[in-house]
Amino acid sequence: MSSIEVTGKFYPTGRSQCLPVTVLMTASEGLRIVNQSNELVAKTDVSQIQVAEKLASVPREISLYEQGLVVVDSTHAVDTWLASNSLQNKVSRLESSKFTVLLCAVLVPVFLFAFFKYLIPGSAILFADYVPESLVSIASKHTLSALDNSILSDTSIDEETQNSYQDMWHDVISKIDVPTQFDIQFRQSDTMGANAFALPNGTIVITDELVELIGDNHDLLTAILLHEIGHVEHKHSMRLISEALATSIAVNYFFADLGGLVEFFAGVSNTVVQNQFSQKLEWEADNYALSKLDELGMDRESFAKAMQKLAETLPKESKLTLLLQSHPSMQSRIDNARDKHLD
Amino acid sequence: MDNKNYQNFSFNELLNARQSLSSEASPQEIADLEAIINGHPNNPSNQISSNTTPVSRTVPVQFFGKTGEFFSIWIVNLLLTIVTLGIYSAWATVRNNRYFYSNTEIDGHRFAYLAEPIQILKGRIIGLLLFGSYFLAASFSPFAAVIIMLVLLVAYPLLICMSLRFKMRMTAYRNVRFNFNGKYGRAFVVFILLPVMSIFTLYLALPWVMKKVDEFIYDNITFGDKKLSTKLETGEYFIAGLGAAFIGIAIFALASFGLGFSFADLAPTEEGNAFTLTYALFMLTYVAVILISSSFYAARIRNHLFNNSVIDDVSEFTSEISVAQLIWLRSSNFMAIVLSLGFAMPWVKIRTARLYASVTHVTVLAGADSVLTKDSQSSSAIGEEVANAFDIDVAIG
Repeated sequence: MSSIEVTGKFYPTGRSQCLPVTVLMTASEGLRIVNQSNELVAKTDVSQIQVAEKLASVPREISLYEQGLVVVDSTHAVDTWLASNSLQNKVSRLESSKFTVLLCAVLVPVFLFAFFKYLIPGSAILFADYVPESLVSIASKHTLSALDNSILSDTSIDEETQNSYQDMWHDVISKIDVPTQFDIQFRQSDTMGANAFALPNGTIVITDELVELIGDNHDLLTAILLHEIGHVEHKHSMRLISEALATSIAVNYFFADLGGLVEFFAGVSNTVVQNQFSQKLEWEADNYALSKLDELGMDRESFAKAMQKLAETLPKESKLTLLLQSHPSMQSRIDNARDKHLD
Repeated sequence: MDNKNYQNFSFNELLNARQSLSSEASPQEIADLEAIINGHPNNPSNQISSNTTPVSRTVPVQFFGKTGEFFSIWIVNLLLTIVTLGIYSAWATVRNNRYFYSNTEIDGHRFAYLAEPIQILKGRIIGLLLFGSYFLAASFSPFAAVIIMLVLLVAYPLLICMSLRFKMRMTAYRNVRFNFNGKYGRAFVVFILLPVMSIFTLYLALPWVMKKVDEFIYDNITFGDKKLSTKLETGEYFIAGLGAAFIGIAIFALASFGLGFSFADLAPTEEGNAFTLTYALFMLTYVAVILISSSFYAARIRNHLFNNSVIDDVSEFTSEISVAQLIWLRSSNFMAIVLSLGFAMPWVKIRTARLYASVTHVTVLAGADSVLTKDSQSSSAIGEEVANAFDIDVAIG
């Protein structure tokens, strides 16, 4: 390797001073830095220099141990000399090849899609299995008590009616084969209206409003209960938590520091992605309920009817609002119950 | 010691020699050495007189970044980040930042970004672990969530200080690092106490609080041994803040007249499609309000901040960005990102940096050559990364 001579700027350590210099890069003697009066300002062995990795066409920054910083233009000769005397950066080569850049532009969307569509939900299922029972139980208790202190009030259904429902459900649960101990409770809630929800430890809460809406038909209420049991059996709460965590971290790092409006847009896409997960889980719970109805020798139509009744209490849906909702559209759930047959 | 030896010394070696001469050395020897130092061609005072540099000059901020170049860097590093499940993101951050710092030039000298990827990776892992435990604890128990929120509230000013400190320490110009010296106590006052108290003034005092925040951030920045100082005016913050609020309200009022919707329409209606249309119009108005109001505020305050900041004897700044420029920049950036599904990101970042550079001028003063570096303990990336994980960010103009 022959020696090269280039002009550059030398910043001696310790102050903001800058000297116009000539930099001699030699094979045997390392770096020699000479000022305009042809005096040696600094010299160093190649082992005493630290070079910032090559980055596109930005000037090369070479730190001379305890002496200063020298900056020279990134020419081919300079880059070659620096590459042979320090670790060349492979990433810079990838960045300067048209082929790899094009390849990356194709692969990034493909990988991102696969990441959100398969990797995150897949690892969420794994994660859900590793959450200890005690934690699930604490989480459920805390959530219920927080809800009791906010939007839920005591039920106004009399004890006798409650007991008759409990007996019926106990009968249903004993027929389907599930390991979880279920605890079904009634609550009144203006905020939630006709609704039911399951906590991961097997506590299922049914609102007075729901009982009022479909309570006269026990089969409908049982269909809803089976849907909630589906959520518990498939550990949906834990999967949703881990999916939400993974998504928000991924969105934060892949689309970090976008600033203002774009960040708002990233927030919306985060919501859309998470709602896709959540809708997928609702489908799982629906199909669980439908297959259990078959097992019990009950009619799938009960589920369809229950959804129909619920749909009447809700505002009409549109395609846009569907993106912003955690549940699939009622109509598609009704269609699913009526059309789908077990393979 | 023989004086002849000194003739072969480099300027730095001479300075070192002068420092190591004890007071017992003969006065003659000291005088001789000082004479050599004073006459040395590398002595800054000789540099200034030998060059015909004017004492003070106003120069533009130049940005040399190119969209094509940065696109290549961005997309390759994004792919590497994805396939390494995020681990490479620390290296990607350094390369992206270096591209912008090293392509920004003032008065013939470029900025440098000095962070080490490993340093960022460590901070990022700690940040993610903290965020993950926060997220899980909050998901498992609403009560834990409340407690963590309180802890975060107390930690928030600390994270901001650490984050600013890291950002400044990693920035160098002319081989001299910036630094940030803000302390927790004052940060707690300006970031937590004053904003909470402004609620009791129905947010009317908020512009004054914003001024206090900016003073805290900028007055604590140093460049080597020199301090940045600002002379900000409360009046300007009130004009910017109240102006932005007024513009926002005016647009909402106009939109509800012109487009014929009211907030009552946002409640669910029986007709699904009408709901969607109203919703879309509302979102559009909302975006317009954020865009125009925030641009009005940001442009005015940036100009005010730059025009009233000086680094003593080193530099003064001018910024003359117009509200219209900023609105156009932000709205076209937003459209480009959405329509290109994110692929326009590099273009957006480059043109943003180019615009900000083009509206900024720096007056270089006589002492710019003689800023001394100031040693301070190195700064870790932990605060910065924890702040990022929790989406706490303080932008510096």
